[in-house]
Amino acid sequence: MSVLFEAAFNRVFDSQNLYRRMLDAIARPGKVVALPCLDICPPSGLSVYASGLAFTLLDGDTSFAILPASEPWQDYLTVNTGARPAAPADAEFILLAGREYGPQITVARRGDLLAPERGATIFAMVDAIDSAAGGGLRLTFAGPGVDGRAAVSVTGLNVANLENILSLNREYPLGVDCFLADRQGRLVAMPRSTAVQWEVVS
Amino acid sequence: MGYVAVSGGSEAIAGAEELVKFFRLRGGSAALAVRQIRDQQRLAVDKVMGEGSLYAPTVAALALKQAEGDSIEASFILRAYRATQPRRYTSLAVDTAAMAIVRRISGAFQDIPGGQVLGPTRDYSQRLVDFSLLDEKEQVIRAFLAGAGLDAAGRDLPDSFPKVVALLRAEGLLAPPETADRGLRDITRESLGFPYPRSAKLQALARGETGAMMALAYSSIRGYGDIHPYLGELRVGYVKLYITHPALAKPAYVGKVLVTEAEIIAQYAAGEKGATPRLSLGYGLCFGHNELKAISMGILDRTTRSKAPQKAPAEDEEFVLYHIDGIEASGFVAHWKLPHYVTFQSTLDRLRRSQALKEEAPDAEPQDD
Amino acid sequence: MLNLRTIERKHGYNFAFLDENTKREVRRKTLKAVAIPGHQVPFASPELPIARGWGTGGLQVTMAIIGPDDVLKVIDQGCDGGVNAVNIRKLLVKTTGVRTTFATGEATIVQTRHRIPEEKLRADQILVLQVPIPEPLRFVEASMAKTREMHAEMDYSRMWVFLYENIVKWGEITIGARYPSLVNGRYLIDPSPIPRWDVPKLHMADTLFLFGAGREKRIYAVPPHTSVEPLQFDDVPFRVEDFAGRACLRCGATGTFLNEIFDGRGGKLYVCSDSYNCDAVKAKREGTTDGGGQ
Repeated sequence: MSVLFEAAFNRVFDSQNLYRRMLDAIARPGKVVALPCLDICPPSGLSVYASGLAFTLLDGDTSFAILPASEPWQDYLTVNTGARPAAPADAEFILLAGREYGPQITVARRGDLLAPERGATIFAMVDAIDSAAGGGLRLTFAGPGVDGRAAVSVTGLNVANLENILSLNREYPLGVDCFLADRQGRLVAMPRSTAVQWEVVS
Repeated sequence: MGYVAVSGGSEAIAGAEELVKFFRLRGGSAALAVRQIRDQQRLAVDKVMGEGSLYAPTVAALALKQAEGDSIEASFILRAYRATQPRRYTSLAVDTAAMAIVRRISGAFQDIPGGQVLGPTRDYSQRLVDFSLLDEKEQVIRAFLAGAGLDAAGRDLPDSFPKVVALLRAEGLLAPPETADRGLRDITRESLGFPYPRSAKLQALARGETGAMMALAYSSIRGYGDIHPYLGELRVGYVKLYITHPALAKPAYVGKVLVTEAEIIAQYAAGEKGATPRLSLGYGLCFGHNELKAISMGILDRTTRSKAPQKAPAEDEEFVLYHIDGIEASGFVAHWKLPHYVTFQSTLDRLRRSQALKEEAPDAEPQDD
Repeated sequence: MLNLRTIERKHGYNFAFLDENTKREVRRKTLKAVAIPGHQVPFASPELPIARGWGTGGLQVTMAIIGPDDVLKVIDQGCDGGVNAVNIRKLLVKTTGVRTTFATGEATIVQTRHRIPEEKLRADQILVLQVPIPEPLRFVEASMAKTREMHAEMDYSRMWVFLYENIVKWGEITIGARYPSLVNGRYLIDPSPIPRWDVPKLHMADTLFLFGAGREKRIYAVPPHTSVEPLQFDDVPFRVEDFAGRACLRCGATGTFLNEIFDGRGGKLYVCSDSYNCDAVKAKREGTTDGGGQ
């Protein structure tokens, strides 16, 4: 088995660029942020953008899980970040294929009251994100970072996954913080502090 | 007018840097060689390596030169340099029984297996100013070194000495080592809550400032949470470091470091209900030859395990570990030199308001501090 | 033996000084800080070549977020030219090469000690505050282990008692700067030693505020559009500093935070603490272009 080390990903400047967009997104839940194009080739099914998020934050000091489990994806992230694969209940980061039902998300770390920051960060791969109303899921956000209300349409996110993530966040400040990245490089953050209402739009 | 100019800070800083250099050199003597500092100010170098938390004698000597002998400043320079260095390996645990001894004493026993090795110490010398050092002649130094035969003396020492505490342990007088908390945490890579894991606590102590640790250890032995310590054994010597590497079949030797180790035998405790009372151990180890620090560390390692409900300062782990770091303490104490115009203005606003309220209602102050 | 030649490199440092591992940790912790507004997130906080207590927390946050396209403004006491601001700016410029400005409106990142600029900050700007003591409960409890539990349980009763006793004793709350404020109705923060004058600027702002405490190893944040309420009682409201009837001697502005200075003849003068704002107001009044830039 040979796994590609992405030499074209600039660990200094690409990371910084991606990070600032993640920071902008999490500071403004519901804001649709454009991610830069990346010259990387993840294994089939794993999106360039979700990989970029992982490259930006993961390293040898961190652990991650993939839901549903995927060996090629895991090898790819291990080789490129040095992060350790871990069980979903222990992982600091969880990469979730949004379309696939990943029931193990319910065991994700939520932190404790002394250290709520130990709650997991979730990278959810979805098909498309749009600030305009459209098909799929219509999510309406309120809370810190949101000026009143903000709404986005998301396709390719399994309703059961969304429900599980939201139920992990029922006891604020415990919870998980979620980044949704679509296949066109659009990013939306859904931190635990966000109150989310949702409906399925056909 | 007293308005602070908007620009001018850059020139002021550049000027200050020039002046520092000028004050260091204006005496007109020959520039200090870093090697001279490394060789002849070895205890200062060792202290800086310990508090700077980096074993690098040449860089430490250079930092001392740069800091004009200010050991906290030199430690800070070394620590900041350390923070830029990659951490690639973790050395394997060192067995200090195999230390190449320079000095080794016990205060608890008159006779110890292997014998007491006094080594280089001023402990039993009178602290008289040695005026002969005012003018040390090079040929005298050379003759001394040629005739002393002191290098040879060390070669007669055995390769390893049995540990004094091992004897106590074998007899059941000393509590066995705790094995529960053997994980290795790196305090430079994560910020930990209290109580600290043991490895983290020892790291924090090992990089602590000698004077601060001495003061706290002193407060304990004077009676603020006394643990009745004995110096089981004090060792100064070289230990070998090994690392493992996936490409190598067996651990690789990477070098030796000079360390000082103190094993403090403390007060026996009743232990768990029904358990045999046993002596307990406090452990101190630091880079270089720094006996005061190693002993202080051994005492503080033990005092901070106190379970007393009312803790003396030296028994409070959070208090001790938060206040012994020389770099953090010196930075914050010195930061009052920075402008605080805004906060002071804010304080004056409150004070004037309190004064005005007092004038309006002079009896409205029912209590004092 | 160490090779001194490898040590002598003066500019052999990574972009923005920190190594990438350190940056990533600060980045991870900063995201968590934003996700849990007001919660103090511990971070490793390695040493910098600037002393602890002199802005190392703010610096690490800035170093972790800054990119080559940013425009940086650094102030101390509201002033771009203060020696500490100059020193911090120098380190950042030396290791990033970014463009700097005095003009608040041009900056994408503003690193500050003790002030929030008078000019309203926008959504595309980030304010990084240097924090000496991140713990608002330090007024009533010295132990970080204990204050952490108090935050966990949202037990701020001792703080309320402290403020109440303050009023009983002095008629009003005597806290000048560092005014304890509740973020998002959940976590009490120390907003850093900004004057009370600046605390309302944190409330429902357009801007992201990041707080870095290097020596105490904590990062926390106030996201935009987040409530920040200074603790107050119904009958004894929170009040900002009183500069009623005073104007800046230089620019004539009223409604800015003023520093009082002695005039050398036993009298007092007042000048703006925000030096850029003062220059801009003065230039506008005199009909010249504004005094920003370097």
